[in-house]
Amino acid sequence: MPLSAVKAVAKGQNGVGAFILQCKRLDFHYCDWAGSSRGMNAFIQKRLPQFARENPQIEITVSPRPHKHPVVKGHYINGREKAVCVRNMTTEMILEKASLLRDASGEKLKRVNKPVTSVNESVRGIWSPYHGAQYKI
Amino acid sequence: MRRISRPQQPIDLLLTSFRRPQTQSSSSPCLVCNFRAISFPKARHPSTYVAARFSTSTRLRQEPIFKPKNPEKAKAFTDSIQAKLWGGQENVLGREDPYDRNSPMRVPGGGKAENEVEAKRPQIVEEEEVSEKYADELAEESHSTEDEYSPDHGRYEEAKTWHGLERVGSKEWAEEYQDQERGRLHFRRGYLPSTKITDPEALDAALHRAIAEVFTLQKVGMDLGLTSKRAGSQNDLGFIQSVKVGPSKDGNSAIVEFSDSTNESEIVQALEALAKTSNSVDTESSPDIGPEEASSVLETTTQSQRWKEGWQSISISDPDVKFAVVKRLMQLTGHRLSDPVIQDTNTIGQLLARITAPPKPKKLVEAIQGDGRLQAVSNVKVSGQRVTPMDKEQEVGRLKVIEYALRERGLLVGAPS
Repeated sequence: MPLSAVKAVAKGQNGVGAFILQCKRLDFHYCDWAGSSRGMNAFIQKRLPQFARENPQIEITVSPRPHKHPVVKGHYINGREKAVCVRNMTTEMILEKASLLRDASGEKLKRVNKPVTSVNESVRGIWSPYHGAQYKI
Repeated sequence: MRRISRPQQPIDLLLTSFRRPQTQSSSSPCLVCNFRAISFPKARHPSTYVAARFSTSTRLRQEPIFKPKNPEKAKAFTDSIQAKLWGGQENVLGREDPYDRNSPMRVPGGGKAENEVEAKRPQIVEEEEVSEKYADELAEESHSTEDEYSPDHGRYEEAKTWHGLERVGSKEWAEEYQDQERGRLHFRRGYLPSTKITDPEALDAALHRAIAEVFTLQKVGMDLGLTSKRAGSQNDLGFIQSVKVGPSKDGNSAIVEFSDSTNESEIVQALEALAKTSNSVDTESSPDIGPEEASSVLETTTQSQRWKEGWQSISISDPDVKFAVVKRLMQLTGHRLSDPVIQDTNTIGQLLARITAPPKPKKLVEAIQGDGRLQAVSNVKVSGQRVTPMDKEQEVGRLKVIEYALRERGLLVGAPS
C-alpha cells in the first residue's frame, strides 16, 4: 500500500474568522476601610463603567473584601484564573492591570526566545530515515 | 568587647572585705548574736554602702578600707618590698599613706580635730552608731510614708444620704469623666442642638431667619453678634417668617421688608433688652430651643413667601455679616460648618447648598447606588457584602447538591431540611 500524505484539514484558530476573548470574567475586590484601596475605589466609581461598556463580553463583578488589599481577578475559559494585587495604585495603573488581564490568554507565562513563532506545520515535513531515497554506503 | 560585671569591680570587693571584720570584732563570741546586735536594716542595696564609703561625711569615712589581720607582719612585708623596689630604706618614697587618718600629709583643718576625738572611741561604739543611723533612717522613712498615705486624717465623714455626692453611671457622666481624664476641657453642650435638621424646607427657613435678623441689626447699626446670644429669646418672634428678604440693588447686601413697620422695632427692642441682660448672665450657655421646636417654628411659611427674586446671590462676603449669619445658622440648625467652608462661602445660595448637601456615603456601595452609572451597565454585578465560597457554590447551583450529600451522611447539623 503506497504511502500517502495526511490530508490537511483546516483547523480552527482563534482570530481566524472569529475571535473569542479568553477572559470570561473579571472580579474587582475593594475595601471600604483600608487606604490601599483608595485608588481602587476611585477606579470603580469613575472608570469602571466605561471599561465595562467597552468590554461587554466580559462579566464584571464588584464586591468588597474587608480589611484586605484590593485585587483584580481574571477568570479564563481554560479554567485558570489570574489575580493581580493593585494596592496603593492609581486609577490609571489599575486600568492598565485590568486591560492586561482582559488580554491575557489564561495560560501560564512562557519565555519567548524566537522572534517569530508559527502555528503551521513545516512544508517539508519531518525527516525520516525509512522514506525517500535509499543511500548505500 | 568584654565587659566586667558590676559586682566584680574592685570597689565592691573592697566593700565586702570591709564588712567581714566588723561582724567578727563584736563583743559576743556567738556569730549569730553579733549579727543581731549590729542590727543592720533590711536588705539594703550594695550601692548605698559604696556611697557611704565615698561619702564626704568624715564619720562614715573614718575606718581604713583595708585592715590587715596582723599589722606588724604586714608592715614588715611592705617595708621589705619597698626596699627592694627603691634600693634601700632611705630612698623609699611614698611610705606614708596619704589616706590614713594619722598621715602627716593630711591637711590640718576642721575635720581633723573631730576625727581625732572620734578615733579614740572604741570600735564597738562606732558600729552601734552606724547601725543606729540606718535604723533612724528607716524609722524616718516609714514615718513619712505613714504621713503621706494615711487614709484617715479626721476629715472623712460617712455620707448618710446621697445629696451632694457625685452622681456616676450615666453616659454623659462617663464621657465627661473620660474627657477630664484625658486632660481635655469639657465644653458644655447646648450651643448647638444635639441633632441636625435635615429637612430642606426647615433649613431654608432657618437661613431666612438668620439673614433677616442679622441684616435688620445691620440696618439699625447694632452689634450683629446679638442674634446668637440666646436662642430662646427670639422664639416669640414668629412674625419674622413673614418678612421678605431680597438682594439690594448693588447686590452686596440684603433688603429686609417687614409687612408691619412695628415688627422691625420689636426685633430691635427684643435684642436691646437681651444686650442689657447679657452683661450679667452667661448668655451662650444653654439655648432654650431644640431642633424639633426650631423646625416647628420655622416651617410656618413657604419658600416663595420668604424670599424675593434673586435672593441666592445676596452677598455675605463682609466678615462680620458672614460670621453672624453662620453662627446663627449653626445655632438654629445644628450643622457645624468648618473654617474652610466658611471661607469659601460668599453668597447665601452657596451657604444653603452647603448645609442641604447630603452627607458623603460611608461605603462604596452606597456611592455606586447613588451614582447609578455602574448599575446601568448590563454586564456588571455589584455586591454589597463579601462574596463567600458558599455564595459562589450557590450561584452555580452546587450548594443544593452539597447540602444533600451532607444531609445524607448526617453531617449537616442545624441547617433547615
